[in-house]
Amino acid sequence: MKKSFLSSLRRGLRTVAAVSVASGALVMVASKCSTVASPEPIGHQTRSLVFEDGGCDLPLDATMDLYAIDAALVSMNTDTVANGSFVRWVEGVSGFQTDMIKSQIAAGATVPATISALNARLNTSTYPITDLTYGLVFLSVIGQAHDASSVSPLNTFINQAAPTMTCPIRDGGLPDGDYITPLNCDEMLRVRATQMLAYIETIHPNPRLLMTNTLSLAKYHPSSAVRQAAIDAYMFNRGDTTDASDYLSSQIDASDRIFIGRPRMYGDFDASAFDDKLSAWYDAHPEQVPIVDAGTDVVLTTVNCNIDGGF
Amino acid sequence: MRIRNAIVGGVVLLTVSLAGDAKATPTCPFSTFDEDNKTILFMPHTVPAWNALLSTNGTMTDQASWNDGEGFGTLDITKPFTKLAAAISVVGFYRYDSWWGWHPNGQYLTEGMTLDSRFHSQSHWSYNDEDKNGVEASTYSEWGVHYTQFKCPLFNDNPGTNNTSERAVTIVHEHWHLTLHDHGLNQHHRTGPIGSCMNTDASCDYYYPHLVHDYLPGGESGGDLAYFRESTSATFNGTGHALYHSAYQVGLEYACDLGQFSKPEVPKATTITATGIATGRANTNFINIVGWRCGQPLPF
Repeated sequence: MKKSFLSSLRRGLRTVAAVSVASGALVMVASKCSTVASPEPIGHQTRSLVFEDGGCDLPLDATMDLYAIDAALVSMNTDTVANGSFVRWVEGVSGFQTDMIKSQIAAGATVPATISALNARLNTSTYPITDLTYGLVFLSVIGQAHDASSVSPLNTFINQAAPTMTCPIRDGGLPDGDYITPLNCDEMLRVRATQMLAYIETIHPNPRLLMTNTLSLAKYHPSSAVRQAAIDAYMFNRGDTTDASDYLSSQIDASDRIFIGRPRMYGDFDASAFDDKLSAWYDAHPEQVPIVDAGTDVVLTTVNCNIDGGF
Repeated sequence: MRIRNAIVGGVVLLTVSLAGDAKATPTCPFSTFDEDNKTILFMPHTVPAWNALLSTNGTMTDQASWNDGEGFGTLDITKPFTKLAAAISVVGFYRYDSWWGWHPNGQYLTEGMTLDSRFHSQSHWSYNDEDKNGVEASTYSEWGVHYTQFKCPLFNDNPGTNNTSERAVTIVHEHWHLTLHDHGLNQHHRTGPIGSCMNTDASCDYYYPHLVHDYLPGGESGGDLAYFRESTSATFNGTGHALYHSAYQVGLEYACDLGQFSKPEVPKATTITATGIATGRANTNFINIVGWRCGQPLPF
């Protein structure tokens, strides 16, 4: 039996070899890869970070230079709006150069033709948005330009029936395991546009039209995400006052009133004030706190890895 | 008998020989350019992160899956391997470790790495060409080994998910499944539609609210990401709440921390997108209403 099995195995081996060659199947051999030196810095600030030995299991180098990209200025004009180079420039600008973005937009916004060029690109049938980041930053530029003429095209953009952007759809047949699914980028753009519309509407030349479109979105838009954005932006631009809250509550659907008064987490926030407001919101809406089963505490060792040596 | 033995022997050997095969040609069309990645590439931490992936490739990555058009061993911003290195550098170095925002960055980094940590045991990262328009990544365990597969939508022409912020959030999200699993907790999403989550697949989670500064009756800090407590002994203004995170919750809080509390060198492409992702996830993936919003509704 052993002899017959071995001979069968040899026949099988010849068969497999033929199949493997035919299919081009290869077994990859791991090769020793060389490391790559960091590119030459093109910025002008160099600092060193030192990792403190806090018992962290970080596999990276202990010291590395931190520097900023030296972004050459790009003006906002009809050409740079049309070819997308202005928005692309804004995308690459570092956070500490935000004032540079604002100054370039302020300068460009004094030219009506530039504003018209921006507004025209809210027509997604003519100028389709093909990149989520580009779309979000483009809308931010329109908001920062702060021109009343953008209100109408923004409103059209938010309410249009056709998708503002074509996103991937799932094939179905979801894989085994625990997964993360793509976001609705069309809705994300409408939310961002709603925030920008509200920001611009606060300076509408006709006081009778202040925030009317934002209020209309909060009342009538079919997307809950857009209504939530409109509610939050309305309150923000009205100073989060009690008067604003009372008026808004009287206008929107009763089921949406729960979205009024949520605290915002942002860069300069006051953590204590945030916690107070968060507690107050959950006080008012205890049904939003999920119930979990009582169980044993599980506490992980809280070793903080201090990877920031400071400036 | 001889024919049967030949077939059995052939099948065994065929299975072994195909075990390490790479696919012939990737079917996922990779994007050629995006400003986000161009900027990320020239941030200094991308290269060390990339080097780290190479130096530990035997344990961290399924090299074969990244080695047929996916750019293993090459510094190419259009290829998945470099894009993943950029995402790791974002998780590791784009925020301070001080407690600004929801959680200190060192915790997200340790949780996001594939190596053994206090969060989870070692995991292996692979690339999967399937699900061109499907999920972004999936995590599973097999024979006690953790695997995370990063899939086509994170790297290809699909415009909504092919960005560095989403990749960084995905790393943190997927490893949270491992963290829950390794601590005997339920790591699975729930199938919608349920509550405020209108999705019809398994992509709904509860949001377990906590304060930025949460304290327990004994005075211990309860807001630490590394703290699990499935009990209601810690009160939330009398309501009671669990110090616990679901996978979409960790991703949401990380996305907002990345969007709002990044170092000043971080480009606008990353922060604006991350804030948008946080808002999107809060709107889309939770059964209960998330009681806060990410960012202020301002342009910059």
